[in-house]
Amino acid sequence: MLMNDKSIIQVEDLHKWFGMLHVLKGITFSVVPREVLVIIGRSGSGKSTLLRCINFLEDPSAGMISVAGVGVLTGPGIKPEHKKILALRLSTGMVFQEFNLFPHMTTIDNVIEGLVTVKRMKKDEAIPIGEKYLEKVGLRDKRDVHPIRLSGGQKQRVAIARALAMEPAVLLFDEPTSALDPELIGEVLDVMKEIAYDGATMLVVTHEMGFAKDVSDRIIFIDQGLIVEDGPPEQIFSNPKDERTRLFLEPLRKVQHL
Amino acid sequence: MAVETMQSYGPAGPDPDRSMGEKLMALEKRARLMYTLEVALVWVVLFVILTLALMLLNFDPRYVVEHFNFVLEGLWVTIQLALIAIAFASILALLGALGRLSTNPIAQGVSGFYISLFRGTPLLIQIYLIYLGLPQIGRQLTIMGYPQLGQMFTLTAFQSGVLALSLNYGAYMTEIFRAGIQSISYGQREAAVAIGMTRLQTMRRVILPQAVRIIIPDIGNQFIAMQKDTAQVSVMGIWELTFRANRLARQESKFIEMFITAAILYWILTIVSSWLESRLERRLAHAYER
Amino acid sequence: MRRPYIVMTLFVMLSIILASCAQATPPPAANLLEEVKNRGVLIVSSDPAYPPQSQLVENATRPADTKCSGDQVTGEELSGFDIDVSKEIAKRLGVEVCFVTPAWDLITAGSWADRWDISVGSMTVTPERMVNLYFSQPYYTTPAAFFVHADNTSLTQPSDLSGMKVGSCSGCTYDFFLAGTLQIPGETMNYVVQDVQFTGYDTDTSALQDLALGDGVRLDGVLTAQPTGAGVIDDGLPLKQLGDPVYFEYLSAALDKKSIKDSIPLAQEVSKLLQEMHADGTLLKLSQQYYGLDLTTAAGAFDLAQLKQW
Repeated sequence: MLMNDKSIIQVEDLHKWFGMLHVLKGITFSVVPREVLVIIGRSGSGKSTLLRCINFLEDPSAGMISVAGVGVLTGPGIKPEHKKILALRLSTGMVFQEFNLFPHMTTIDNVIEGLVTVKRMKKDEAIPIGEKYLEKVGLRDKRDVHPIRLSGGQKQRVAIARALAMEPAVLLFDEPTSALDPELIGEVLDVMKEIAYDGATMLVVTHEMGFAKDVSDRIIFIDQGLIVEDGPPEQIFSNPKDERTRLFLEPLRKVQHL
Repeated sequence: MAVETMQSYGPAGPDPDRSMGEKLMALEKRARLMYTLEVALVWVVLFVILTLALMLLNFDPRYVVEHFNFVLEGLWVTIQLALIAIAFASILALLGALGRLSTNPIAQGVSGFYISLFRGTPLLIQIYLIYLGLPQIGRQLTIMGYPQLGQMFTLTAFQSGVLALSLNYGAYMTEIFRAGIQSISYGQREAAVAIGMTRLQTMRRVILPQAVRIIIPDIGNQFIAMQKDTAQVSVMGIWELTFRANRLARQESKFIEMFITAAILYWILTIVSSWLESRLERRLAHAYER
Repeated sequence: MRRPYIVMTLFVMLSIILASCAQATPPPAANLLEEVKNRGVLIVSSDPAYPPQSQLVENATRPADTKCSGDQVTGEELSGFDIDVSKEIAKRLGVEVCFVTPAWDLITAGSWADRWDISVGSMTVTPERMVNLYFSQPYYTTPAAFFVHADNTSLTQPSDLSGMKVGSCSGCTYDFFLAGTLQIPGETMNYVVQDVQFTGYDTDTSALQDLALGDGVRLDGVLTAQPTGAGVIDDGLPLKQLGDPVYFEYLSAALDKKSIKDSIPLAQEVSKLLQEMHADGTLLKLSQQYYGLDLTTAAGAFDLAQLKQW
């Protein structure tokens, strides 16, 4: 993969070990602004770990990660500066499989928490921004409700609003619909689609092949810690170059009507 | 009952399902009320038995009435001691818990040593050491030429009592705080970190507010235990509840009278404390109710 | 990388604190007597757990002009024989008396950390206590006597209690007398009671309480001060004294040997004042007021020099 000045994410030769387990075996790719990149792969292939390494929720064992101009190099014996990691996290927003909303805060407080605590914004300045993003995910009317009163789909939409409110350069989605009941998946995917059309740069780990096919600009297939295939959705779905990609997609084709 | 149930399905009411629901609710409420009354009745019976037992004790109520106010003044000292000490103990427990959860070897070592030392020795000995031992360290410092620093080691009896209780209970409560902090799911920490929070911000804004709700009942429990342990500081001559009751008892050999008076005052204090604690608990639970 | 810095920072901070304190000028060295006179206050320890020597005064008001600190008690808030003796000593020193009320164990242990100047607490002069404390001229004596339940008829003299259940305060002179190890300077002991089953209490009044439960229920007898036993009998406990006193204790004011400022001059001054109070009858008057007995004359005759304290 060629590095160029236009890319907003660069990952170079990324390795991750969990003890003796080599999960990521040298991942290199880049993402350009406004690109929607979907990462697919079997469970345990390392795709979630890859996503979590990008904002250092997991410390990479070795490699270089750069997001929006902040580059962090790690390796054995190299301890990255904490300040850089914090800066890098400010350029990324993350949406988790389990939502991870703060249960002790109302919806609006969840959304503006980063603005107030991290960006040191005054609360009355942050609230209009929070409301704007709640509006965006269609939950403005739930602003004063605590998360326990929301459905799973609503919780995930609030979590998306929370990530958006920080106005990050890149959005990371870690299996955002996997914890949802089937009838609630649609509302979350709709919101994600809308954000994509608005021009956000998105990295999405998902099993929703329909979303991958319709919304993504590019798909990466990861198997056993390596990028096996990287290309536009048409190519991946209709004409995969690698046998492993075809074997992964074949059974899904029947279930998800691709 | 069965017949009634059938009737409630009949066409008479405007919404038969609704009246059925109301009926079930009323029955449930009645059962709950009955249960509460039965528990209250058991309390009353036990209280009467206790009172009767006390009346067999050759009890002179007049002595209690005459000296009640003087003993009661000691209750304020007890409350002051316990309130100040529980506040400091909570701070120490928080620091201790953060140390225990830290990866910093100094923090880990200091907190581990602190907990081990103050849980491993009796409160009474800690009181003696703080009251009489610390000033001797201060004296050595004075001799070494640091008189002002040396002075700081001589605490008043009240300060010594607060310090001993805080250190002792702080050590026990460290484990409570640690468990409370650890009970907050890892996802909460990740969500906070992902929006750019530092560790301190994560702890302050996300973890602690949730942990506190979980540990409030345990803190309340420790507070109640501490109220009674304040009696141990009377060895330093603090005129708290036990000191006053004990010294009055000796004046006319009215031990039963004075000890029962003190016991009842402690009991009332703990009842009021647990009531306040449960109110606080309910307030904090607000965000978690559907 | 950062950890050594943390340790170093701590050391630097500590040494700065120490250094800043060191710059302050040390207070002028003086002995405890001068200190008391400069201060205008004599701080006396007395646990008001021992009527009639020392007890609480309810509803007492602190004098508005008192020099006593917040955790000290003024002369108005306590009363008793020891308290009156303390007040008289302070008066003759020309200072105000203030009291602290720590538990008895803390007083006898010594190492008071200069929290109080002197104990006027009817403390018996014993060789063990002389290790940590200086004793003044005794201000009175206490006859030690055995008490039994009023219902008892089988016991007629102290030696009858040999081998029986006897209680008293643990670690006090009665404990040592029963163990046969009590030594009182200037007195030859006659251990008339042998091999008792001893039960120790926090104070001997607790032992008297247990004895009052019934003859032989928990105790057969209690060894205590004659005035203490007489006091609880007055309060209505069903007890009686058994025979004559078995020995006399000399009771003195005590001072801490380990105080920062030399306590010997104060001990000597207090001894001188107590001898004056023996001579002019002040102490005898107080003894008769509180005990209806002359407990002081023998104490006035005690030769303090034989203790070889200074």
